[in-house]
Amino acid sequence: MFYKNKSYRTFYWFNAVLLAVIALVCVLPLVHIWAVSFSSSAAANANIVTLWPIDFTTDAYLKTLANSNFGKSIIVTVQRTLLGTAIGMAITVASAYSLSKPANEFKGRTLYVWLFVFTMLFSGGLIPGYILIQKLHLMNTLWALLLPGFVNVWNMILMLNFYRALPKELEEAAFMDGAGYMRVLWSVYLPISLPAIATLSLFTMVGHWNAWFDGLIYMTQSERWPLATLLQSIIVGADFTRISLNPTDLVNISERTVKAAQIFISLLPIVAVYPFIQRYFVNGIVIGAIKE
Amino acid sequence: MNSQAKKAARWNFSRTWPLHLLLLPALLLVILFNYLPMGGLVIAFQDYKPWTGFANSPWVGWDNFRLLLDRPDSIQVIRNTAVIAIAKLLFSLVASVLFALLLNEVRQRLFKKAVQTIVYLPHFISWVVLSGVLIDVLAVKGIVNGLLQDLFGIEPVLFLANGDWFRITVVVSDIWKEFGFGTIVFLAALAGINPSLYEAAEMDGASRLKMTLHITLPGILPMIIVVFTLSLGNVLNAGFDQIYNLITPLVYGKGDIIDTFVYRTGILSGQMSFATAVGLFKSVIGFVLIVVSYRLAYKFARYTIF
Amino acid sequence: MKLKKQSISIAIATTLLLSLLTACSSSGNDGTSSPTNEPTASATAQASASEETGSGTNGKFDPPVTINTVGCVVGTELFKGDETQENNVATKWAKESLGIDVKYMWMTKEDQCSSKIRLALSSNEALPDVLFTYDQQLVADLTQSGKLMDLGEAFDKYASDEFKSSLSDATLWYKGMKDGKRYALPVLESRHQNEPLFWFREDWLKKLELQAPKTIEDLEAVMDAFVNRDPDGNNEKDTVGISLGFANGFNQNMADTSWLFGAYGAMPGFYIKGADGKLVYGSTQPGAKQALAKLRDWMQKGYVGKDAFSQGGGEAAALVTNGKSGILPGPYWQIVWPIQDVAKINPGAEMRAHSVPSAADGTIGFRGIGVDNSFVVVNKDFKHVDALFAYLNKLYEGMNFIPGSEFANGFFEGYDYVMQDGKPVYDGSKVEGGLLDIRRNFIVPPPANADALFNNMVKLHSGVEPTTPAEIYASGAYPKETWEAAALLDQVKDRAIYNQFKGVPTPTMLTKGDYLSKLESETFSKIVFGELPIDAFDKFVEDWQAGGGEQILQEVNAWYASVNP
Repeated sequence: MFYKNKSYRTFYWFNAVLLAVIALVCVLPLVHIWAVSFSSSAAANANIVTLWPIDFTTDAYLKTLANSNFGKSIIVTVQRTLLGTAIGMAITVASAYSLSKPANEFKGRTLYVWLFVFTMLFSGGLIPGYILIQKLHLMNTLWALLLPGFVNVWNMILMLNFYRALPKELEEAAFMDGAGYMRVLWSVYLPISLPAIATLSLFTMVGHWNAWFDGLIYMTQSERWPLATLLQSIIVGADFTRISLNPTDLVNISERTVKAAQIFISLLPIVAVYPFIQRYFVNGIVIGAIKE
Repeated sequence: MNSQAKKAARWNFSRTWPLHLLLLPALLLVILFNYLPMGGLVIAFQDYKPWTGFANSPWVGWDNFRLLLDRPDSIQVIRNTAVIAIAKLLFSLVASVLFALLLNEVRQRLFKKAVQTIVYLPHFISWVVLSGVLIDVLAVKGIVNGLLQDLFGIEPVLFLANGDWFRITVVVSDIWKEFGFGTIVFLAALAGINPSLYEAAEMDGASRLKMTLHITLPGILPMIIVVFTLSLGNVLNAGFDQIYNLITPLVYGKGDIIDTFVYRTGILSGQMSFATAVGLFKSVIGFVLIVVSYRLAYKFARYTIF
Repeated sequence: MKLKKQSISIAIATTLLLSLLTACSSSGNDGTSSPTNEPTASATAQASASEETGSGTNGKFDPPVTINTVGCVVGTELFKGDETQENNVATKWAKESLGIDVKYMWMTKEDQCSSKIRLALSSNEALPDVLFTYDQQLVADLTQSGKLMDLGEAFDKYASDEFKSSLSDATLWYKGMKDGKRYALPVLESRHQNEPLFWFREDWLKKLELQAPKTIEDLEAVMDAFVNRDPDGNNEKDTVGISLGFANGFNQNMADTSWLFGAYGAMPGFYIKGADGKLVYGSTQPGAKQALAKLRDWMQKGYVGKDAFSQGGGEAAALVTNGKSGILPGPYWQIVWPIQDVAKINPGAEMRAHSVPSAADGTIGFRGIGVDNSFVVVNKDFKHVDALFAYLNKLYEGMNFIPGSEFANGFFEGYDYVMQDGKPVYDGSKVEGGLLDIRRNFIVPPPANADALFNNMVKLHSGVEPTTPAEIYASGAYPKETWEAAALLDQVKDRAIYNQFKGVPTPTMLTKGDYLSKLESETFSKIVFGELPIDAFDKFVEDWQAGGGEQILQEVNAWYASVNP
C-alpha cells in the first residue's frame, strides 16, 4: 500500500496544502471581482474595493437583467449551446472513430485527417465567411452560429487519440460476434469514451456559451443576440469621446461594476453544470471491467 | 479485375464504407464552410476594396506581406510573438500536466472536485477585466510590490514597465488563467490508464514516484504530444486580447506582437487585405511546424499524432 | 437512480428536440428589406411643398415613408420597460408624428459598425438608407464606392433655417467632401468639450495655503507641496502631485499633457501651422523636448506616479477620487463624470477648476478638437431624403431647445426631462427613477448648435438668470461648477491648438504611420520614465524624418494646399 508509506504521507499533505494555495490564488481575483460587482460605482471607480463590497448595491446586475432582451438572449444561448454541443459531439465521435482506425485497415484515412487538420490553420477570413452565410440565407438564424462550428478538428484529434489508446480486444471481440463498425461504435466505444466525451462536451459548451463575436456579425436583430453578445453590447467601448456630452449619459459609464457583474452572470451556469460533468472523470473502472 | 474494381478493392470500400459514411457529415461541413471560403484568401494579394469585390480589386502581389515584413521593427515584433507564444505553450503544458498529476493523488472527492472547479474559473474572466486587476495589483504602488517591500525589502519590480518582466507577467498570468482548462484534458487521459497496471506495480513494491514515472507519465505521454503539436499551430498567436490590454509603450520593444500592430493598422485604414495577408503568413508558419512535429514524432517515437 | 437518469435524458432530449424545432421555424426572417420605396403622388406633393417653403415641413408623410438604418450601440443606452433600440418612444414618435417608419436592418456594437458595413458592401448587400458613423475612413470609402448621395444639395433644399445656420462654416464640410461635392453631413458636437482645464482639490490648496498656479513653475511648487506636505493628513507620503494618464498617449481627452506641450509651442500627434505658414508635425517641434524634460523631472520627483503609463483617463481620475491625487486636467464638464464622487469618498473634499498654467513667458496652449467628428451619409438610391431632413430638423429643435418648437423643453417627457410645478427638470437626481438619455434612440444623434451650450454656461456663470429653454436646460442639467469652468475656459479658448490636417490618412501614413507613431510613443515614454536621456529626442526627430515623416509632411501639405487655395 503505497499510501501507507511515510514519505508518501508527507508528500500527500504537502500536496494538499499546495493545491489549496493554488486554488486560493485562483479564487482571490474572483472574490475581488464579485465584490466589485456588488459595490457602488463610486467605490468601484475609485479603486478602493478589495475583497468585500463597499456600499452594497445590486445596480450592476439590475442593469444587465433589466435589459428587455436578457431573457430572449438566454434562450438563444441555451439553444445554441445544447444543439451545438449535441450535434458537434456526435460529429466528433463519429469522425474520430473512423479516423482512429489504422491506415492499413481504413484506406484514405490519412487523406481525410490532413484535410481536416489543414482547416484548423487556414481560413478564408471574415469576408468570405460572411458572404457564404449570406448566400445560404442563414443570416439572423441560429444555424449561422452553429454550422461553421460543428466540425472541431482539435476535439476530433483528441478523441481519435483516445480511441487509439483503447485495447484492440474490445473491437475484435465484437467483430467476432458479427457486429459491424457502426454497431461497435454504438455499443462498445461510446459507453467507454464517457470521460473523453464529457471533457470535450464541456469545452464545446463553454465555447458556445461565451462566443459573442459571431452573434454580433450574423444576428441582425438585437433580440436574437446570444447572451454573450448582449453582455458585450452593454460595455462601453474604450473610446468614451464617442459618448454624447449629456450628464445622464456620462453617469452611465460606470461600467466597472457592470463588467464585473457580467462575469458572474456568465460564470454561474457553468459552475452549476460542471459538477455533473466531473463525475465522468472516473478512473478506468469501465475499461477494467471488460476483461476476458 | 478491371481498374475500377481494383481501386475499390484497394480502398476496401465493401468493408470500410461505414467508416466513410461516418465521416461524411464532417467532410461536407468542412468543404462548405472551410474550403469554399478559402478562395477569399486571394484578397491577401489584392488591394481589396469591398465594393469592387474579389474579382475586380487590383492585384498587388506581395505588397501586403511587405507591410508586415519591411518595417524596421518587423523582426522584433515577430520575435516577441514567437518568444511569448512558445513560452506560453511550453510552460502551460508543464503546468497542466503537473497539476493534473498532483490533483490525481488526492483522495478526498469533495476537495478534489472543489479544487478542479475553482482552477477552471479564471478562464471566464475576460482580459478586459483581468488586465484592470493586474494593472492595479502589479502597479509600482500596488499590493504585490507593497508586500515585496514590507516582507523582503525589495525595490518595486516593474512588472509591466520593464520589457523582460512584461513577458514574464504575460506568460504567468495567461498560464494562471488557462491551466485549469488543460488540466481537464490530462485528467481525462489519466482516467484512461488501466488501473491493473498500478495494482501490479504495487505488488512489486514500487513507490508512488516510480509508478508516476513509469506508468502514469508514459500513459499520458501520447496526449501530451498531441496537445503540444496541435498548439504549435498557434505559435504566432501570442494572445492579442491580453497584450492589447496590458501593453504600454515602455515595453513595445519586448511586448509588441504581430496582432497588436495589425489591429492598429486596421483601425487606421479599415483595410482587410492586410489582416488577411498576416493571417495567411501565420497559418503557413503554424502549418509547417505542425507537419515538422508530426514527422519528428513518427520518426523518433513511431507515433502518428493524428 | 436509473429512473432519475432516464428522466434526465428524456428532459435533455426533449429540450434538444424543441430547440431544433424552434431553430428551424425561426430561420424565416433574414432581414434585408428593400431600401427603396415607390414615391407616391402625395409624398412627391409633400416634397415639393417643402421645396416651396424652403424651411422643413411640419407635415406628416402620408403614406408613411420607411427609412432603413442600422444600429450601432455604444453601451450607455438605457431603455424604459421593454423598449429596445428598434422599438421605443423615439421610433413611435417618428411614426405617429412624422409618418416615418424607422427600420433597423441590423444591430451591432459601435466598434464593429465599420466592419459590418464593409462586409455588407463585400457581399453586395443593400446598404442602409441613412448611416451615422464616427469613422472618417469609412465615409471616404463609401464616397469612393460611388454609393452616396450628394447630401450638400439636399441639405440646402430641405434643412430648416436654424439647422442651416449652425453649419454656415464651410470648413465643417471638409471631411466629407470629394471633388467639391459634400457627401457627408457633419453632426456637430458642442464646442470646447474636449479642451482641458485644471481641476484641483481646492481643499488641499486651502489647507496648504497655496494659490492656484499661473505658470508651470508655480505648478511645480504646488505639486511639490501635494507630494511632500501630506495634504490628506494621514502622515504618509502616499499622494502624487498630479494625475496624468499616458495609456492613450500625451494628447488625449483627460489627464493628459497637451497643455504642457502647448505652452512650449508643440502638440503631440497634431499637424500645426509652422512659422512659414506650412504645416509641421507637432511632436517634432523643439517645444516637445522642453515638455518631455519637465515630465521626466516630475516623474523623478514623484509628482507624477510611475504607474501613469498603464493608466488612462479613468484610472487617473480614480487617483483623485480615492484621495491620492490633487490635480486632474480635463474638460469643463469633468465634475459630472468622472470626479463626481470625490466628496462622497473623501469627506470635506472640494473640486474646482482653474485655467491651465502657462509657460514662464505667458504662452498658453492646449489641445483643441473640432466639432465635426461624426457624419451622416445617405444612400444615393434613397428616395425620401426630404423625410430625413424633416426628421433632422425636428431633432435640431430638441437638441437646442428652440423656443416655441415641439421639443422646446426636451424630447419626451418622462424620459429626458420631467415637468415639476410647470417647470422642466433636467437633473436626474431630482427625479424618481432618474432620467434617460433618449438621444441615442434616434437614427442619428441630434445635431447640436456647436456654440450654444458653452455660451450659455458662460452666461449663467456671469449671473444671467436663465430665461430661454436652452438656458434653463444648461442650468438644470449641469452643476454650477461646470459654468465656472466654462467661463474660465472661455477666457483662453483662442489658445486652443487644433489639428490642421483633416483629411483621411495619406498613403505614407498607411504604410509607415504605425511604425512612426510607435517610435514616437516609445521614445517619449522612455524619456519621461527615465530610461532614455533627454537628448534621445533629437535622434527621434531625425529617425522620424528619415523613416517616412518627411514624406508624410509633403502629403499633408499637399492636402492643405488643396483645401486652402
